[in-house]
Amino acid sequence: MGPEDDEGIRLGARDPLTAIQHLLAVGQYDRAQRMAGDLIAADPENAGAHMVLCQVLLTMEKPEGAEQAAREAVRLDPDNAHVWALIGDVCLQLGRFGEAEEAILRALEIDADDAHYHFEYGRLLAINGRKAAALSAIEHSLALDPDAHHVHALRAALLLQVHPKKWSISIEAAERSLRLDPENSFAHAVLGMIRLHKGDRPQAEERFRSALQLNPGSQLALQGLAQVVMAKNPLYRPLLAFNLVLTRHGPAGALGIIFGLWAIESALVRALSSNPATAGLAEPVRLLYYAFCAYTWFATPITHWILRRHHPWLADVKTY
Amino acid sequence: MSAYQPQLRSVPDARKAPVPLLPVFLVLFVFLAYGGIAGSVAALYNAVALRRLKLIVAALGAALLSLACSFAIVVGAEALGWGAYAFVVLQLTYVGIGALLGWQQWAHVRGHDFLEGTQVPVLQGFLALFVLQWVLSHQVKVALLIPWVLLNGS
Repeated sequence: MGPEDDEGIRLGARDPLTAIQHLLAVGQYDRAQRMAGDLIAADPENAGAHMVLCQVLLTMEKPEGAEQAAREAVRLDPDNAHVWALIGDVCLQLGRFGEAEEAILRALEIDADDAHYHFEYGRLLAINGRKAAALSAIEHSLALDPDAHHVHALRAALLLQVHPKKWSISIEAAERSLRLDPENSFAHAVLGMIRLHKGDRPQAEERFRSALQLNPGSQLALQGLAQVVMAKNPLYRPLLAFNLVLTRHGPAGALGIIFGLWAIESALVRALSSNPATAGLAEPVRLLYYAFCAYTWFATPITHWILRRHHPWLADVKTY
Repeated sequence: MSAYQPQLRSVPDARKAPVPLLPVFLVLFVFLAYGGIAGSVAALYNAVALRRLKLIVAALGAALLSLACSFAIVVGAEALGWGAYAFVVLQLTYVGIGALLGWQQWAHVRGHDFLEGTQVPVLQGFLALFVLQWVLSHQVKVALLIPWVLLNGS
């Protein structure tokens, strides 16, 4: 028995694989990697050891090494759903989305009743912008495990994007996540975003601050809080309202609104110019439109720059 | 048997470009403000940076298509006596071509983002394009928007 095993026993693990998981949980990645390597050296046909090495390398953000370990594990145990899910994770980290999907779907073929694989599939689809399909996978996951707070939080985030006007269902999902785990920083941040979209800035701010107390590095909460702070400035407030309207209409709708405004301006200027009685109005209309465009482009950075003096943390938040 | 139909087969693998990419929205704006040839050059920059042959071919194709459209629309509008509308139709055509290229590049740029690749900041990009609007002479802007005029020598 080596010192690594002693560490595992000290941490309360009954077997070396669990001990490695413990080491991962406490952030001792190098020791976990060494221990997994020792296990493989002792028994190269141990699929579990290859799987745990893969997990360690994934946590260390070394996806190339993790892939090698996962491929070895799948060679040794091709009917293990968890191995396929790991391959899915590896391919996702490498940005091979099609392969990641194939692997997770293979895991689901082997074990369709594991809520985690449905969640992972939903996460993969969400990353690739397939919001409605992601929501469906997340709801499958919740049907199997209704108490998974992190899944409720992701569902709330997706509901906000898929049904941007139905606040109540996304609020209900985020609040359910928080009832299950009041310390879920992501759920607080998502609830803040929903409140922000609803126009309820004080409550949004409260949620973003709660999220940041739990996880000071939460990018979602930082960006949300930056929006709330910037919206206190009258220069930025109308722009936030305009941006929220664009968000509510989805990417295609937003593009339609932007180009629609341009088309209206072009048509109006031409119509006004063609009549000598109204020709004088063409230039003011054009200038008004240009001023609006300039405002939408520059209001955010200017507000950001002004407020940075009083809120130095804004310097680390990219809002434009 | 899984309850899901694969959704991501056509999604390209992510690839990180070694240089900052132009945001798709900015490429589309170049199509609108500076015409199809300039827009295609912007799209070609992204395509070369990503080392994607399909994107390179599409960007070059878009440049040729823009040139052909500028010829067809200007000549057609003149023949029909609709010269006043030619410019608007041409700009809408450029936006259409730009939208197609943007749609093609979208997943690639997102993949670059996913791998923590950088993009040219939208604000700086727009500022640069605005400055260019002031700096470029009227003739150059017309030549960019209606390259057929330049080739035709008129």
